[in-house]
Amino acid sequence: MTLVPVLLMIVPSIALVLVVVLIAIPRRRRLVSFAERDFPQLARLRNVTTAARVIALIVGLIVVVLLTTVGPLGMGFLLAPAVFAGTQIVAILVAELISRDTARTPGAAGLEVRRIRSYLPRALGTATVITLTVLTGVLMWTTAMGSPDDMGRAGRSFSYSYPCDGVCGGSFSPWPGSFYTVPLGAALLLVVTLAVAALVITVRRPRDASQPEVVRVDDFVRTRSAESVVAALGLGGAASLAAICVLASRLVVSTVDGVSSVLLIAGWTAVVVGLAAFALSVWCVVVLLLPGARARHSHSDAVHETATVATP
Amino acid sequence: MSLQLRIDTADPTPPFEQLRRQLNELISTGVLVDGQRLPSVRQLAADLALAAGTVARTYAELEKGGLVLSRRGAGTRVTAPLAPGKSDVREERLAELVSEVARHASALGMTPESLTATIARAMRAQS
Repeated sequence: MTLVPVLLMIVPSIALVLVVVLIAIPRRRRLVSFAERDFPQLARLRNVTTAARVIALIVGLIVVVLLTTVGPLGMGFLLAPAVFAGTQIVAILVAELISRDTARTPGAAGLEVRRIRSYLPRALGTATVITLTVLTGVLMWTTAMGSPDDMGRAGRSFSYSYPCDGVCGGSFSPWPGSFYTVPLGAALLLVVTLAVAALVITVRRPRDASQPEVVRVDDFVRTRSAESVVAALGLGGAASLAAICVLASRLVVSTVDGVSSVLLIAGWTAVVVGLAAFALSVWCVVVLLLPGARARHSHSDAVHETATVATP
Repeated sequence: MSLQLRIDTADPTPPFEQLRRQLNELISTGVLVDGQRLPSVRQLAADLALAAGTVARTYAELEKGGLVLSRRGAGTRVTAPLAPGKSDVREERLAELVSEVARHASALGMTPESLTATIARAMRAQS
């Protein structure tokens, strides 16, 4: 019953993502082409970071499939987005560490100021921050509203009551109470920490900025890494939020006459927020598959404060 | 293209002094203008493959000379009195450098024509 609308959302989304990826890959490749014979180190930098992203996507998918089959009462399924995000971020972090010295010429440097914000995708970054903030609020609310289920497991069901001839009420589970939100919150906190570390390491990776070709290619690689990190974080947050909202939206279908209209509004809000989170998840998947869209802009930002020779 | 800073490991001059001289030159000739932000100690040290303390010492020396100002959280900025439009000050500095080169060229027995040609070649190589 519930599979049909889910499939109606997921199948067109996958098709849309594939079309966008197939159209954009050749264009994105041209951005990172250069004379590889003249800059073998740059070729290594590009190849290592690309390979890490591809491997991370494959490993991440395998881990997600495995996770959905383990964990008590759908816990693995709920943690899958955060674990997938963590896999992507760790891969990028490792790739950046492995290729730390590839763009550097010892004893030579360009006089430039590099900042994290120069490489961040602004719109996606803002959407990710908003999503994580909303997710934090939603998790706090659902945790506060949770109650033990029929087996006594704390924070796994939702109970409600309404006036009738005496006191009537009901409950349903699963509900995203503390049973689910505590491990999910811990996992997301770890992912956020990893993301911050990955961004810092990516931007602090040294380079010889006195060579324009190094700057051009390296800026693309850095932008690609930063976008991937933000997209992974966004996907982890948005997909988790969507899953939480799916569970919370049962307020709409589980309530009966006399139940609080506030809870009905909360249920419909969960539906709307869940749809928005799903849309952001699709956006993040596209960016994860095709990072680097901001490369041309970030390059100019990155050298914005670079010293240039003043003309007399 | 950004300006290049170079540390010569074969040079007996300590790296912090090499770096200080180059930055001093860039500031005093007006290439780096008042208020311009310099890279963080950590970033420049990593780029040059130097210890962070070396770059920190360079910045401290420049700050003592009143050429830069370091503030926690705001980074290090040039505080030189030169403005980019003051070409007369730069020309004055250039004249000093050229007269020094001319003195060495005379000692080597070079003619003005050969010195001019050498400078022209050096300028072309820079560009």
